[in-house]
Order: sequence, then structure tokens, then C-alpha cells
Amino acid sequence: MAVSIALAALTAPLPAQNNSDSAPEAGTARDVIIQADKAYKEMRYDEAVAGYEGFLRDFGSAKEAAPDLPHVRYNLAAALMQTQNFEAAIEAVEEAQKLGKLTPEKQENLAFWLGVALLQTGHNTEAREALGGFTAQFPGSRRVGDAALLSATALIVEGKKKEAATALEVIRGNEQSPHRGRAAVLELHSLVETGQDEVALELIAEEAPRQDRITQIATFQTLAMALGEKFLEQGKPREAIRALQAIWPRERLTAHQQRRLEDTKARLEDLDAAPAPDIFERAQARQVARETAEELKNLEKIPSFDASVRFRLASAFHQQDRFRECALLLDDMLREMDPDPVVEQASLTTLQSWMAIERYDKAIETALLFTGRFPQSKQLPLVLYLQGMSQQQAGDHDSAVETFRGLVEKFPDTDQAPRAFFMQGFTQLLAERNDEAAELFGQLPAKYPDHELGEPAAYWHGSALAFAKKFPEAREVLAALPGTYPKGVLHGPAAFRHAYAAQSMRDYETAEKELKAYLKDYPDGAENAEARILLGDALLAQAKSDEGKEVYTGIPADSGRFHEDAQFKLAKVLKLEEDHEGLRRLMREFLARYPNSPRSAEALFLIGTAWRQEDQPDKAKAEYWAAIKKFGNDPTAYAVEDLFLGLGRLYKGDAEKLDHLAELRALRTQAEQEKQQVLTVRTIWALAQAVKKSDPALSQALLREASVLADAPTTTSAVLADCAEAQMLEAAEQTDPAEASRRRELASDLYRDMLKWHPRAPQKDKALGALAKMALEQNDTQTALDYYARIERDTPWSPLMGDVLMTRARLEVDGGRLDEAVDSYTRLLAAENVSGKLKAQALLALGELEMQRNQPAKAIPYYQRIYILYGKWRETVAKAYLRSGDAFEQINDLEAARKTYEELGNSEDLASLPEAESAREKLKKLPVAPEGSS
Amino acid sequence: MKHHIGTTLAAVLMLSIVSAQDTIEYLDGNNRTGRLAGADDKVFKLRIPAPVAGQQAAVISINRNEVEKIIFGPDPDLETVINDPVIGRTAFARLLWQRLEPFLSVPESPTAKAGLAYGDILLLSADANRHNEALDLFRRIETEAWNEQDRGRALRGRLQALLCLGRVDEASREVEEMAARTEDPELLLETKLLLAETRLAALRALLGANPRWSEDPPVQAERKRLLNETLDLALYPFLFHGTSREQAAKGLWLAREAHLLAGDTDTARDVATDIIVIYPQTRHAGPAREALQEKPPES
Repeated sequence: MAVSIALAALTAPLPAQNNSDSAPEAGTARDVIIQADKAYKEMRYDEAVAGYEGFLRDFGSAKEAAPDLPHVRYNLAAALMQTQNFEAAIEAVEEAQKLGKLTPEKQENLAFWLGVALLQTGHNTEAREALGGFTAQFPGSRRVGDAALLSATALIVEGKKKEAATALEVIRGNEQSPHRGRAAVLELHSLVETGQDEVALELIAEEAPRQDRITQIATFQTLAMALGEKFLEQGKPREAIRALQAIWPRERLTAHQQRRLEDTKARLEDLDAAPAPDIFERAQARQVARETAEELKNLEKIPSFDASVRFRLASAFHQQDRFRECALLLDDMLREMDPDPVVEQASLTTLQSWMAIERYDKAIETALLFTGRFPQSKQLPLVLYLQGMSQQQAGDHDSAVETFRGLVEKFPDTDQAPRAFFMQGFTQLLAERNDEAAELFGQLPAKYPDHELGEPAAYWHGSALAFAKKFPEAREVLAALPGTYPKGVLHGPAAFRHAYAAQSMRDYETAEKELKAYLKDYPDGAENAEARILLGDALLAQAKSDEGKEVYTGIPADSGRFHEDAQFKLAKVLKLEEDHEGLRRLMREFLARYPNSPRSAEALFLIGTAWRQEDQPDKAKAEYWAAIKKFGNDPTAYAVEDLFLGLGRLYKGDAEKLDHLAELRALRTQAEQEKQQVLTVRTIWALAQAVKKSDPALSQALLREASVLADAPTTTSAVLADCAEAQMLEAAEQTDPAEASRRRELASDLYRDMLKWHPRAPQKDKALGALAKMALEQNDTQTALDYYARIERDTPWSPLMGDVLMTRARLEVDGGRLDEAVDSYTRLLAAENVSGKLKAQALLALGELEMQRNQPAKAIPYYQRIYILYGKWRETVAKAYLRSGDAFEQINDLEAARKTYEELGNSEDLASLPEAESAREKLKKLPVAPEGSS
Repeated sequence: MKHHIGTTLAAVLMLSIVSAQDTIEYLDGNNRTGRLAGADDKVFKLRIPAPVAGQQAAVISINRNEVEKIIFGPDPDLETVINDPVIGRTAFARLLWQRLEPFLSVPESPTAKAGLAYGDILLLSADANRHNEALDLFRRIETEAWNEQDRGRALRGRLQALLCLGRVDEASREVEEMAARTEDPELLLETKLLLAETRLAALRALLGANPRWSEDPPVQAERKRLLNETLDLALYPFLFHGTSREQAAKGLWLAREAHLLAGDTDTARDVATDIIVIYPQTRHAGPAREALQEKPPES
């Protein structure tokens, strides 16, 4: 390659030489020279060579010819160089040099040509010597740079690539050198060839920003690709990326070279048209044009140029576990490229990369694309399996089941088939379709005998039956597991689940026996703590309370929620046994261990109960106060508000309640003095709760006061919501519109802060509803609709859902978005937590929408559903009858209209409603039915 | 204030010392050389050297309808600001813009470039007033500049200003439309980066409004969506046009910010390293180096 890169430089510019423009004299030596010069000038170099050689042969030894010899020998050398007859040129040059008597310019040319000719004829060492001599003799020559490049090329040809790289670096370092681009390419080549990869990478980094000036830019970039490949093989992905990132997209590269070619051709045309063209410049332009055309041709031969770069880049990112970059790189390309084994493998990598970064939507898309493009691929079962897994992870259980089922049917003999079958069952389990799951798990061992998934399938078979509350069947399956899989690893979990099923059947005796056996056989089992809880429950159910207590006590503290549960189970026993002191001790220990537990209020309540049982309410209060003082200013102690409420209930009678208020006020003062912000707000809120019934106005005022002090991140959602509501109430009662507006703004801020800092607040729906209402009051329908959408999305359990959907639908009707309104009403009808009254109203509204659309036939079923399903809501039923009658009239079913009006008019239940009277009126106006009609 | 006056004076002095020479060519073939000093609807004003040494320079008015064209001389001041648009040059950039402002629609004038550089500097500030000023400036260039390329740059500047002002939805809509209709690969890269910025801004706003997003599944899902979109768009120039160095590095920088917002400091460091190693000469290499020297935030 180096030679081909350098070749261009070898066609050095050669000036035309002639001594005379006068007419030739036929037959004389002068004639011959003139003819040869003419041929040379007209670029008929072979003729020129023949002429000069003829002259030398015929007249060379003649004394008279001596004055012409320097010119002839010089021109012969030049013509031989032009015909690329380098062997002969060497001799001609040397002969010319021997003669001397030439101008310095000609001597310079001869010295240079000698180097070129020697290099071309494979005399590399001699060529370098000649070129070195040239440079030493003509240091100011414009060809010094050419000579240096040719010397370096000679080194490459000699296999001395390290030395070549050093020499080329010098040329490249000269910013003015016309050869710096070519030198860069040759140096890069030499460095890559000699394994100086890091240096090569630095060269790429240095040259890449200005590579548009390199004539052989495509070669440069191909070398960068080769270097990137090398780094990949060496496991140096970042270095590979550095090299590969220097490469342009093929389109840009082609366009660039095309433009260069066009520009060069235009320049050549200009040069050719010039009266005295600069031969050197013309030769260079030709050379650039030739090289560029060659590069374009080569580029055409590599249609997958971009793909090759991208595949390598993707591999580099993959090596670094940077799956996003890998997937992004491959994703687009796979859609555009023709399907072949490389694309097939890359598609699989893309799919796996999307899965690795949990972009399941993309993974599914890629899998579907793969299936479409490679229907015969051997990888298809694996791809389908991954597709099913992605669908499962994305929560699309139905599609996942379908995909797994399809895989099993289409590829029953593949490795993936039993796994897909298993996953089919597991996905059913995730979708809480326990019966379907149990059936699938039950079939697996027979379908795939001796498969490693046989035991897990048996375990999940039993578990699925237990989840489906088919406990005897579950026990049967689980009991058989150790026998069927004697070397299995799920004996412990199966034994636990087996006992669990007995417990669920309230067969406590069996459960006790089996749980004890489980704890004995599997002391380190994952279900150990849960088994102990169950065992304690089983023992207590059999009135074995001492043993039960012992089991609960034995649950280790590091078992998390099971330990917490056990304490309250123990507390329950102690309470029943009226061991008040024991109960208090246990709960105090609990509070010490779990100060931030949401159950700490429950613990204190039990302590208080124990004191009350002993008729010592003051001690109960003291425990509460101690806990409040200890945790009251801790924003992470979420149960403090509950403690205040529990404490309040301990004060009986007016006098005690006044004491309670006084104590709360004292606590507030103390908290304020000690700048305990959280406790201050909590105490004000507790005061508001304490006077809520006795003095609602004071309660609201206190909450408004708290709202000013409340810092949302450290205030519970309950307090924030109460504060916001108090501001709303105040706004509603205000006669001053400005003050009302300010209060609403305060309420709005509080609600928004609550949503911001307490996303799981139980008051979320109320806050969103209030904000929507405020937006509607300001005629900001879109914001209101956004809030309603959030209620639907975030709090589908909300009791406000019916009102929300109803309002939303009405807003949509008002906005002319009838289809959206129909959707909203339909969702309302499907919702479980919506009253029958609202559902009846929604049906009526749907009927009305159809009537508006002039579709009475479609409206009728909505109306009918009201009086069939929601008879309790008389007003709505009456309206539905009447409108139904109207609809029948509109479709000209007068008999049905008559019957409908009659039902309404004759209904005792609806008789008092105005619609009943309207129905009777309508009946009178209906035309009489013809005889025989029904 | 004192400092402000000082900066302005310094800028004026600097401008007066390094003044450009402009040439007005008349329709009749004559021309005058001097320094353009202003313009209105009817005339151009040219400050010409005093005919007698020691006298003050004169300002002459030349009717617009007599002018064939104006050759704007090279302006080293403008070059300085364009090459290094830093916040410390705000006053200087403003003066340059004000001097050239009357020539915004005059063919071959460098006014738009001065305005764009000034706008870019205004956006570096944290002050919303400056962002508003930049918005108005870009809007004006977008409608009045003679050069289409400058008008395009002004459009992108205006969108940046909208993002700085938190008007993310407005910017997003416009960028989406722009991305849909562009076929120019360079512009496509720019729009991808702008889109990445809009997504990043939306992500930042989402996390700001939901500090406890991890407790809120719908917000979690939205966060994930915005994070993925930001990264996909930001990485586009790096992955598909890696030789467009400034854009690739900028995209990586945006990706780094997205990773940091997501709390993924390791990947953020990886991406910053990419910038330093692969694009060491770009504008983002310096900040990336500084970022890597910073102690990672404690988790």
C-alpha cells in the first residue's frame, strides 16, 4: 500500500525542453534535435526518446555534436522519466550528470530524477542515498520535501517501517509541506504495521480534526478502522472508540472526495487553458485527481463501510458493558441493512443490550423485527424467549404468555421450549391467574421428563394451588416433591409451603408438627422466621400459649418485619393473659428498638391500655408524653401525630380535657422557645384536633397558624392537608375577595407542597381534587383536567373517583371533546369505587350524548340500563324513561314509546316526579296505534 | 457600579484602539473608506480620517440609494469575542453589538455574528433578565439578519434562551417541528442536541417538583422515560457523527448531566472521560477535566 500511496509523488513534474522554435532543417543533426524537442514539447515522449537516442547514436561521438550533448542527454533523461522507463533513465541521468555544463536548475532536476528512478527500479538504498545527496546539494530546492517523502517511502519498501515512521513524522510536522497529508497516511500505515498502536492513535487524534486536507482521506480512515479493530482484539475498547470515532460516515466521505475531484478537475481545466501552465502544479493536480478517483472507486467497493465502523464501535461499547451505546448504534442500522449472518448476530446483541438496560419496549421491538427478518434463524427460539421475558418484565403478561406458548408450539425440541413452558406458568402466576399457572406447572414434568426445571415446576405447582386456596391438592403435590426429586434443592421450601397449606386449612396440629420438622431439618432455611411466626400461631390456636410465646420470642431481631410482627403477637398474648407489666416491658423494648416504626403509636396504645387496665391512666399519659417529648421533633418519627391523638383519648371529662389543652399549650411554648420547629407545628396541630369539636373556629385558626409555620419536607401529609383545608374554609368564608384569593393561594401552595414531598400521602386524591377545583374556579380547564388525570392515574382507589370522572366528562362535553367524554363516562361505569347514583347519571349522560349525535337507537340501551340496574335513583330513572320514550319516538317506534311512557306514568314510585306528568302528556299526544299492531 | 463603569470604559478604549476600516462603494464606481459609525433609514454614516493632521475626524452621511455595497473591514474585536465568548466579555460584546446593530440587514455585515456572540454570552449568566434580553436579541436576528445561516443560528439561540427561562414546553414543541422538517445533517445534529436539552430540562423540572420521586411510581416511569430520551438524543452526535467533534462532545456533556441527575456518578465519570480522551480540543474538555477532578458526591 505504501508504494501505491507514494507512487503519485514519483511522477515528478518535468519541464519541456527545447532549444529552438525555429523550423527544422531536414537531415542534419540539428534537424534531429529539433524534431525530438518538438515531440517532447508535444508530449510525444516515445518519439522524443527515439529522436534523442538517434542523435546520440548517429552524431553523439562527432566533435561538432559536443555543444548539443548536454541538452540532448538532459532531455533524453527527462523523456525517459516521462515514459517511466526508469532503468534507462538512470543511465541517461548519470550520463547527463557526467557531462556537466548544465544550468543549476537542470542539475537539480537530474539529481532528483536519479533518486526517483532508483526507487522505481527497486534500488531502494541507492535511491535514499541519491535523494539524500540531492537534498545536501540543493537544500533550497522546492523538491526537498518530495525527496524526504520518497526517502521515507524507500524505507517502507525496504521494510524499515520504524525508521520510515520517524522520517515521516518530520514531514508531517512541517505545516507548510504539501506532503504532510500523504506523510500522515504513510506514517499511520508504518506505525500500525510496526505495532506502535498507541503512537498511531495519537497521530489519528492529532490529524483527525484536519483530515479533510488529506488527499487520501479514505485510506487514512480505513487505517483508523484497522487500528480500532486491533484495539478491540487487544481488549482496549476506549482506544478502539478513539480510533473509530475519527471515521466519517461514508456519505460524508464520498461527498467530500467527490467535491475534491470536481474542484481538482476544474483546476486542471483552468491550468490547461492557461497560456503558460505551471507544469509542476498541473502534475500535482493530476495526481490528486487520480488518487481521489481511486479512493472513490475503492469506497464504492465497500458498501458496508458505515456498518463495519458501527459494528466495531458497538463491540467496543459492549466490551465496557455500555449497553445503551451498543444498542443505540446497532438498532437503526439493523432496520436498514440486508439480512445476513452478521446482522442476525448483531440483532441478538441489540436485543440483549436493550434488556440489560431494562428498555423492554425496545427489546420487544427488536425481537419482533428479528422474527420478521430472520424467520428461519436458528436463534429464533432464543429471541422469542427473550421477547417473552421482556413482555413479562414490562408487565404485559398476556403477550408474554402468548409468546412463550408460541415458542413451545413452534420449537418443541429446542432448549428454550421447556424454559418457555415454565415461564408461561410463572407469568400466569405473576398475573395472579393461579389455576392456569398450576395447570401449566403440573404438565411440565410429563412434557419434559428429567428436565432440570422439573423440580421448580413441582414446587410452583404446589404453591400455585395454595395461592388458589386448593390446599389439599397443594399438599399432595408438595408432599410428593422430595420423592420425585430426591436430589433436589427445593425440599426445604416445599416442606414449608406444605406446612403453610395445613395452617391455611386450620389443621393446626398437622401444621405444628410439620413446621417443627421444617425448623429442625432446615435451621438455616430462608423461610425460618416466617415458619416460627406460623408455628407460634399454630400453638396459640391450640391454646399452647407458653410454647407459642417461646417460639415468638425466639424469632431473631435481624429478621425484620417478622421480628416486629412477633412482638405484637406476643403483646396480644400478654394482653389476653393480663400480664400488664410484661406487656409494657415488651412494648417499651419495641419502642427502643424501632423508634421510627409506624407501629410505635400502636405500641404506646398497648402500654396505655395496660395502665388503664390497672386503673392508672396517669401513668399511661406519662408514657405518651415521654414518647412525644422524645420523638416529637424528629420528622422521621411518622407516628407522632397518632401519639397525640391516642394521648387525647386518655383524657376523660371536661376538666381533664382542659388539663390536656393546658399541657399541649405548655408543650407548644416550650417547643417554640427551644426552636423545635417540627414539634411546634405538631403541637399546634394537636391543639387543633383537641378543640375540633368543642371550638371548631379555634381549631381552624390553629391550623391556619400551623400552616404558616409548616415546612413541607418535615411535616406529615396529614398536617399539611388539614392546614390546606383550613385555609380553603377561611377563603370560602371571606367577604374580601383579595383575602379570599390569598387564602386559596396559601391552600394551593400547601397542597402542592404536600404532593411534592409526600407522593404516597393518603390525602393525595383530596389535594389533587382541591387543586382541580381551584383551577376550575379560575377558568383554567386544562389544568383541572390534568389534575383529574393524575387522580385517575395515581389514586384509582379514591372515593372521589366518581365525582372526578363525572366532572371530567362534563368538562370534555363543554369543550366539544365528545369522544373523550364518552371514554370518561365509560371508565366511570367500569370503576368499582363509584356509587350507583353516579353510574346512573353517567348512563343518562351517555344517552344524552348519543341523542346529541342524532343516534337515538344507540341512546336507548343506556336509558334502559338505568331503570333496570339503578331503580333506587328515582329522579334519574324518571328522566331515563322520559328520554327513552323520546328516543323511541325519534326512531318511529311509537309502540315502544307508548309502553315506555305508560311504565313511567303508571309507576307508583315515580308518580310524584314531574317526568311522570310529562309522560302522561306525551301519551295523549301519541297517535293511536292501528288495530292489530303490537 | 464602579467596576461596571471601569469595564465599559475599558471596552470602549479597546474598541477605539483597534478600529476596523470599512469601505462604501457608490453606484457610480467611487468609494470612501472609513469607519462605519451608524445608519438610519436613509443614510449610512461614515467616520473618515481628518483631511489635515491634528484635526478631528469627520462623520459624513451617505444616502443609502447611492450605495452599491459596503465592504466591512476585518474586525479583530469581533473575532476575539466570537472565538472566546466568556461572561467576562459581556460589556465588550454589548458595545460591539450596539455599534454594528444598524447594519443587521445590510448584506455582508458581521452584525448578526456580533449579536449571536453577545446572546451566547448573555445565556452564560444565571440572571433571568439577561436570558430575556438574549431571547429578544435572538428573535431580532432571526427576523432581520441578511444571512440565512445566521438566522438559523439565532433560531437555535432563541430556543436555548427559552430553555434557560424554563419555557421547556414551548422550546420542545418548536424543536420537534424543526427536527421533523430538517434534512441538513448539521442542523439535524443541532436539533438533536436541542431536543436533548429540552428533555434534560424537563427531567430536571420533574425531579425538582418531585424530590421523593422514588416513592411515586408514575413519576418514576416519567423519570425513566425522560432520562432515556435525553440520553438517546444526547448520544446521537457522538455515536453517529463522532467526527462532528463539538457537537459530539456537547452531547456527551449533556449525557453526563443526565447521568448525574439520575445519580449514576460512575457512568457520568465514564462519559466525562470520553470527552477528555476522544475530544480533548473541544470546548467541553476543560469542564470535563474539572469535573473529573471533583470529588464524587457521597451517595
